[in-house]
Amino acid sequence: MKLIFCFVFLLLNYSFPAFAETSVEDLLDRVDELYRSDSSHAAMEMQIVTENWERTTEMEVWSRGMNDTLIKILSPRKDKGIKTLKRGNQMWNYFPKINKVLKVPPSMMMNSWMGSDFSNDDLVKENTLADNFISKLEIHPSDPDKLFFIVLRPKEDTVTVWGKISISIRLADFMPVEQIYYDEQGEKKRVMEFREIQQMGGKMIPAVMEMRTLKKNSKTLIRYKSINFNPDFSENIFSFNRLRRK
Amino acid sequence: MLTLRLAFRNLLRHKSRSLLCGLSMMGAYVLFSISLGFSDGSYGSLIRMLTDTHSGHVQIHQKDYLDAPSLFRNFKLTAEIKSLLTAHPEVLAWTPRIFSAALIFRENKSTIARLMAIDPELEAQVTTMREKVQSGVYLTEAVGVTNPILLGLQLQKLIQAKPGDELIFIGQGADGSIANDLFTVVGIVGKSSTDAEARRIYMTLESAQEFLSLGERIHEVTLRLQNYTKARSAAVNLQDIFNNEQLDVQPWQVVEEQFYKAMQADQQGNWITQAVIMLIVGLVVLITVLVNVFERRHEYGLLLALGTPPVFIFRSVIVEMTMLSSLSVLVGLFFSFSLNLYYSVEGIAIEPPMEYGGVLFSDIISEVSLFVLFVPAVFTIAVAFVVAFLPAAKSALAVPIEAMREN
Repeated sequence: MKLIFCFVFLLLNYSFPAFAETSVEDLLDRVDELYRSDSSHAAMEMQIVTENWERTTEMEVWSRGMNDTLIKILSPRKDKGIKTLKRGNQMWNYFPKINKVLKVPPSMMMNSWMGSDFSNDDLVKENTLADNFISKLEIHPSDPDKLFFIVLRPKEDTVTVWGKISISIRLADFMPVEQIYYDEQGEKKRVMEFREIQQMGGKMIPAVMEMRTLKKNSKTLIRYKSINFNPDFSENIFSFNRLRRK
Repeated sequence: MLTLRLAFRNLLRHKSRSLLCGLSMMGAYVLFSISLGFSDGSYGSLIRMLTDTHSGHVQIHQKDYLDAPSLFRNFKLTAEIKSLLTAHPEVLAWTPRIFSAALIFRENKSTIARLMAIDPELEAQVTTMREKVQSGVYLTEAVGVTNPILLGLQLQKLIQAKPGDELIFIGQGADGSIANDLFTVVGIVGKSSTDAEARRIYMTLESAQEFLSLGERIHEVTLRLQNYTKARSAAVNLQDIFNNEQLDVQPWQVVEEQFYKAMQADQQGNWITQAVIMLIVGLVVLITVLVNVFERRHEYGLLLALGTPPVFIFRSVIVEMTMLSSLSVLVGLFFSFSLNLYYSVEGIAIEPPMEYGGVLFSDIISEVSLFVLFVPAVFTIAVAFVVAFLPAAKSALAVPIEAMREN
C-alpha cells in the first residue's frame, strides 16, 4: 500500500511539477481571469474571416469582475459607436445610427456576436469554468511533458450546449494554449487557440486569441493592442442609462 | 377543271342548302378559333403579367443563387456587363436588384420584411414598378429624402405607417455586421394584401448597398426583351457572350419554374377541352357533309345511269365538300379575326380576380395569331375532306336504279 502511495506521489510530482502547488480549480480560475482582474480596460482588434467575407473591427473594452463588460466599436466607420453592455447574465446592444438599445433575448444567446465566432453567450458568462463544470486532470494526449490537459464536463444544473471542453495549459507558466469545445455527441465544434504570450498591463497574457468554428470554416482572431488592469474609470460606466451617451 | 366548275355550280344550284351547310362549318371554325384564342391569350396575358410586374424575361445571377438565394451570393455589375447588355439587340432594358430581409420597427410595432432594392429609373423601364404606387410618390420623386422606401400595403397595415414616417431597419450585413439604419416611407405599394409587393419593402440600390455593406455588388439583373417568346434563346446567347462561369443567365421559364410548370400542366389539361371542341367541330362537319351528299343520292343515281364514271362522282363530292368548307372558313376568318381582336383588347372581366401561380389576374383575354386563325381553318377543311370520303364512295358505288328510287 505504501509502495503504491509513493509511486502515485512520485508520478504526480514528476509529471506535473508545478501542479504540486496548484489545484485544477486554480488553473481554471487563472484561465477565467486571464484578461480580467478586479477591472480592466483594453483596446483590441477583431478580425473575422469566413468563406463569404472578411472584416476587421477595432474595439475598446471595459470590464469589472466577471459580471460587467462594456464593448464599444471604434471602427469601421459604419459600425462606429455600437456598444454591447453585459450586466450579469443580461446583454444589450446599442446602435447609435438608429439611437436604439436592443436587449439580446435568451433565444439569441447562442447566436454570433457581431458576426464573429464568439456567441453572445460567450460574452455574458458570469460563472467561472470551475463553477459550471466538473473538471478532471488528464495526461495530455500529445505533449504530456509540457502541457496540462483539463477535461471539463457540465454539472447537472449547468445550462450549456457543450458536452465537453478540454483545455491545454502550459506547465511552465500556466498559460492556456488551446481550448476545444465538443457537443453532446462528442463531436469537436470549436477550437480556441491562445498565442503570442507577452507582458501587457503588467501581466503575462496571450495577446492573440483565435476562435475557429469547424463546421462553418470560419475564424475570429482577437488581438489585444493594450490592456490596463485595475484602471480608474467611473463606477457607472456600466449603467444602462449611459449606454446611449457618446 | 371540269370537276371544279361542276362542284361550284352544284353549290350555287342549291343555295339555301349550301348556305346552311356553310354556316354550320363556319360556326364550328369560329368556335374553335375563339376557343384557341382565349386559351393562348390567357396564357400570354399571364406570362406578360408575370414578366411585366416582377420577373422580367431573363435574369442574371451569381451561379447557384436561384437554387439557394443568399445575401452572400452576389456579383459586381461591371462596366463590361453593362455595355454588353446595352449593346445586345434583343435587350430592350435591364435593371439591377438586391434582395434581403430585415426587422423593421416603428414606435412599439415591429415585423420582419422582405427587402428589394432597385434602381428606380431602370426598374421602371423593365417592370410596372412605378404604377404599383398607390399613395405617396415613387422613389425618383422623393427628392431630398434620405433612404426613401416604398412600403407594401400588408406591412403598412401591420406597423401602421404612412408616407413621411421614419422606420428603423435592423438586419445582417454582407460583411457579418449588424446592419442598422433609418428609412423614410415615401409611398405605399400593392392594391391588396395578397399582392406579392404588399409584403415587400422597396428601397434604392444605393441605400441597400450601404445598409447591407454590399459595396457595388448586387444579386440580380433583370432584362426586358423585345419579344418574350425569345427568352430562352436570348438567355443562351447572353450566357455565351458573358463567357463567365460565375454568372448564370436564365429565362423566365427557369426563374419562375413553379409558375411555368403549373402553366404547362394547365395547358395540357386545356388540350382536353380543345379536343372536345375539335370533336364537336368534326361532328358538325360530318353531319353537314352527310346531309349534303345523301340528300342528293337520287341525282347521283341519275348521273350514273347516264354513264358518268363513278370516279368522277367520287371526285366531285370530295371537291364540292372541300370547296364548301374552304369558303366557310374564308368567311369565318373575318368573324374569328374580329372577335379575337375585340376580346384581345377588351377581355372578359373575372370577378373576383383570380390568383394563378402567385400572380393575380382580373380578366381573360383573347389573342390574334396565325396559330389561332389557321390551325382551326386547316382542321375544319381537313375534317370536311376526310369525312366526305365515305358518302363520296357510297354515292360513286351506288346502283343507279336504287339510288334514283331514294328520296
